[in-house]
Amino acid sequence: MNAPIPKFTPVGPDAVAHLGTAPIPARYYADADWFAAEREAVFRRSWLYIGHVCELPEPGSFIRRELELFGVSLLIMRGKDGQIRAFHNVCTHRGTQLVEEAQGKRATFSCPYHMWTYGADGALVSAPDFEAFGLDKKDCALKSVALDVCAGMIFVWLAADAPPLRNWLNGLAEPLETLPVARATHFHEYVYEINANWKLTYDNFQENYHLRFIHPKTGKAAGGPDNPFGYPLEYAFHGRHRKQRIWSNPEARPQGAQGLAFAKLMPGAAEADILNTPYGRHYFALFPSFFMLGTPLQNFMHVVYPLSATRSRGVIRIYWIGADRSAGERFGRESVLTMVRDIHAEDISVIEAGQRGLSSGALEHIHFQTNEALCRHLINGVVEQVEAWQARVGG
Amino acid sequence: MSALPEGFVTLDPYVADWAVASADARDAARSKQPIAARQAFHAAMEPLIASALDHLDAIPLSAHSPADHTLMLLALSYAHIAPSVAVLGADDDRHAIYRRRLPITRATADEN
Ligand code: FES
Ligand SMILES: [Fe+2]
Repeated sequence: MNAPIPKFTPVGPDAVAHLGTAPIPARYYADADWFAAEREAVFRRSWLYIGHVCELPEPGSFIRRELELFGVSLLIMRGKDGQIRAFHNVCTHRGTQLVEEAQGKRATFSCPYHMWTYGADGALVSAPDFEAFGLDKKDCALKSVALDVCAGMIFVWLAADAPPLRNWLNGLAEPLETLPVARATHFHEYVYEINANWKLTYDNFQENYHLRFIHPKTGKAAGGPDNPFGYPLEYAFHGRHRKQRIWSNPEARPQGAQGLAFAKLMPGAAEADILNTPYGRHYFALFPSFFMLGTPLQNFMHVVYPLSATRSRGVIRIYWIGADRSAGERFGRESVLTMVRDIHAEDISVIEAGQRGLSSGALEHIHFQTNEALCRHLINGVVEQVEAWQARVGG
Repeated sequence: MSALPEGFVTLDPYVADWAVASADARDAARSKQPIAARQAFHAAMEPLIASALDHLDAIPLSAHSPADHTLMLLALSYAHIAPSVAVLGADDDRHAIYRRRLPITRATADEN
């Protein structure tokens, strides 16, 4: 027996009225001074996604990650005790960058310049002629950076005042922990740079208003007769973070190669027990520039790292539990990668066109409608955080 | 002699262009090949993809013969070409420059 399909009801203005309706100053998306304030107020003082625990499988495993926004190079490593820690990739003798490889495994890390040697816990273990310094080794450890893990994802906080990640996530830690990412061992990844402000880049993925115009073919299944824009069913706000529940088009069935790909992913997904997760139709947005789709067969993350006021880097990862179990699963996983990436490729030019328009200075304001509420919630949080920081430092 | 397992020899003409060793190279092949070549590969693969995967699924990945591996690579290229031909059609050419700006830096198929 088929239950009747409930008619789609869009989120109404009352549900998001608390966010306001005023136009948004356009300079927030182009101005270099505003961006400099965001760097300190927002990015230095937020938990930033930096990697996944599956990248550090064993004691001595490390990854090097560059945060160009701060001119900072970080070493994330797993110590002999199994603990994951983050350090500045900077020798404490005279500042030389310690590690060039992007990732690897080592018992110790030696600076090429004068051979100060550190353990995977950051401690200085040996240094030639060390007596000549009159220093204590324990005062010469690598400079640590606050690190915390949720759902297998590693986050760092650069400023000194890091709150516990779980508290900061404001109720989203538990949902995230139900997603495949929490148990992921593998991922697909693509990385890109774009000539656009980080918020403009990120907001593109926070609204479905554009889908029917920019993705008429790849996004066809996202809309239907009673929901032509493919708007979500619900928005929810968790402090600075937010989520939405995605509407499923009851008419849409994956066809052809797409249908085959999903069918081939089912046995592995059943084995990993990810098909009945409570958040499989949710989209999670973590302040400032992280989002993740909870869909079990497309559990993907997108993080936007600002490079300047008008340039950003994006990292997309699609998480999987277990190595490819079979040829069919391998085909299914690569198919999901192409689906995500094909849609994304259609967004690039319109995002950059938006930046050119905003950077031209022609506009005082831009506008967000009810179903761009997530974009509005982001800029509200950014403005609050920048203004609070400016009040503190007297800027 | 065929480079492919028995039953799939009709795909031999596509091995040179489409049995490509990494996910990013498969995407590059998609961008490089003109629409007629994409359509021809799609037409050859479409009726065989299900049986190709059935054949390959019957053998553990680690036990694939060189011919099985070549068939696997064709199947993986089909994962790129099916949306190109069946969904995007002529629009795919316009998108190619944007796809190339999204380089694939990690894929499970590349890790064995
Ligand atoms: S700067 Fe590293 S050992 Fe001297
Ligand atoms: Fe889009």
